[in-house]
Amino acid sequence: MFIDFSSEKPIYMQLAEAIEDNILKGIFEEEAQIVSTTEISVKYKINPATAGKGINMLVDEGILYKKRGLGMFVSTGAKKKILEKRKNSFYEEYVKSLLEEAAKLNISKEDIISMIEGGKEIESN
Amino acid sequence: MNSILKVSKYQIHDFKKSVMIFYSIILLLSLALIVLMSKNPEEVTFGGLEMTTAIFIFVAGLNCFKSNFKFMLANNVSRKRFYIGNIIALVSVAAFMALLDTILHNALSLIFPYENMVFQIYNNNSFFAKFLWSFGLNTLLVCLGWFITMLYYRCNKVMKIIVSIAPIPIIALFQYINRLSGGLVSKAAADLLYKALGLANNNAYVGALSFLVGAAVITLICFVPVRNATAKD
Amino acid sequence: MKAIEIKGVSKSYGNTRALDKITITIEPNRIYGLLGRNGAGKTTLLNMMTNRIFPTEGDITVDGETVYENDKVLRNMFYMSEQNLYPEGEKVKDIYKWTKEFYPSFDMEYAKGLSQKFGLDVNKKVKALSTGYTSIFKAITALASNAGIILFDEPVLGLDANHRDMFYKELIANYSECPKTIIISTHLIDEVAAVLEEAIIIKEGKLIIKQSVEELLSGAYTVSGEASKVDKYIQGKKCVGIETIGGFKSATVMEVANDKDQALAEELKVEFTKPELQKLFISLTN
Repeated sequence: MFIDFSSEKPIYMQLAEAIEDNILKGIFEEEAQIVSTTEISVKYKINPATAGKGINMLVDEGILYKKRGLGMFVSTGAKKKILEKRKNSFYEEYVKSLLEEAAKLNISKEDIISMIEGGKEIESN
Repeated sequence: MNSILKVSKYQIHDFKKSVMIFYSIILLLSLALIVLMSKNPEEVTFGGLEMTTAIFIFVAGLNCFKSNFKFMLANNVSRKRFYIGNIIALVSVAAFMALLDTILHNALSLIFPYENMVFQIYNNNSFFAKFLWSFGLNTLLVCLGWFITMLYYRCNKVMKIIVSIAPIPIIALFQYINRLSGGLVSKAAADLLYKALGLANNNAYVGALSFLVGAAVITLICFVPVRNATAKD
Repeated sequence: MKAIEIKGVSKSYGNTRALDKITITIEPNRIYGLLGRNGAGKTTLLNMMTNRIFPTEGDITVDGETVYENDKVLRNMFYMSEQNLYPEGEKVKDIYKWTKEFYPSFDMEYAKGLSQKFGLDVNKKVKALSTGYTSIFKAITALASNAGIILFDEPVLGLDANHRDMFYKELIANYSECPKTIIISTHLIDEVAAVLEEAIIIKEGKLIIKQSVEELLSGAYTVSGEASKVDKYIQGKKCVGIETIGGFKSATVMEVANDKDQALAEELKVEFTKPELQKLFISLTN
């Protein structure tokens, strides 16, 4: 898990995404316990309330749940939930800026599709 | 009360080392004297070790404030608590040393002719009188030491110089007034001292009481500089 | 709960006004940063909160009770001051012992454990400690006190990078396991920014900001680009920290960028970046 303190994204959001990534990768398995808020905040030297905020966000989305006295666990079906969530925001997060940048550089939609298919370089028009 | 006693506990702990060294020296001296005396069995009277204790405790009073006050501040102790705790500590040490002195001197007088000051001044050899008088003297002097060190602590540079020199003009003024009154002022002062120390009727207890009253007055005055004291380097 | 109320507090030394009518409510169990330039009045404020010096005006209360000469309130507060108030001739372990007398919840095992972690020899006398180790010793005493309110004045003074890292981690672990009110006064803003929940910024004796760090950072942004374009963009906006290097200019805008702003920025070809707390702080306190 990696947190970029100079990034535009708030720390708690980066944390939530990092945990989601680990769930997708299988590092945190469903119904298994994840690292505690204390461990996270100590490791990254962030305020425990910030760490808590990121985790609570995932709890609200049903990706994590709390077992009293034990800690945070990954919910069953968390992977599926994350994939769906990410798919929905894929356009906003990746495609939109790609299209904007392409427009800036006068790269046509067809060029983009070729790039995706063949990964070849396109000469500038 | 418990929290106040903690302050006293630390203050006493701070005194412990120097008190132990002091009595080790006294004991060594006493032993040396015993050896000397046994070799020269002439009638030589010896006495007045109480004065040594009195001087020692005065110096202890001079050193009891700064470092301890700062440590108490570090532990968030209020000045009120520090003040009362300190008094308890000083009085305890004064009593303890007076007790030790009286016992020691009684022991020594069994071995060789040792004359305690109380005996010398008041012709009174009772244990209680000797203890009380020493206790009173010790308490007075340790409070005096405390007061002087507090005064200097609260003074800035200019004030320190004024306070240090002040006794001289005060004494000069006193002598001047005395001369004007044809010696009546100093006679009155001497009379007062004579009565207060119980010399008039050879009463050691009056002397002890005067010492304690003096100590109480000084202690009360001490509260003024303590009230607003801050941590200085 | 035990909130600290600082009400209209001022401190004057003769004609100098060290602090001017400071009013702050410090909510319990959060980590606050008390930030400001040298001489801004931070230490003065901390000293008044812990009965070391007295306000010229105003009052400071904890849970409704004044701190002035109040042992009941004071014994729940621990202050790691920059001044060394500890008796030089005493050993570190004895200071721990005595601290426990005055702070019964002082955790001796924890203090000894931390001392080992940091490489602090508890048998050393206070006077024999280096600047760094004096800070470490005082910081450990503070952390182990288990007081409900802990104040730190420049806790990492003289500490090397490793020890600074360790200190923040121990602080966070301590706070996470046992929430308490913590106030850290420091210059090392970048290091501590992520640890803080709220920032209190003092400038020349006055309170200028009391806000959560997140809000502070998200409520501002840095705009940069060609100088004349930036000038156009920032017209009519509240800005601080305007820097010019040749034809390049940057400014920190103390507002949230709305859609109109975004559009204008695109038009003028100026860029937005997230503000750094350190830069923001410098701009605010200049």
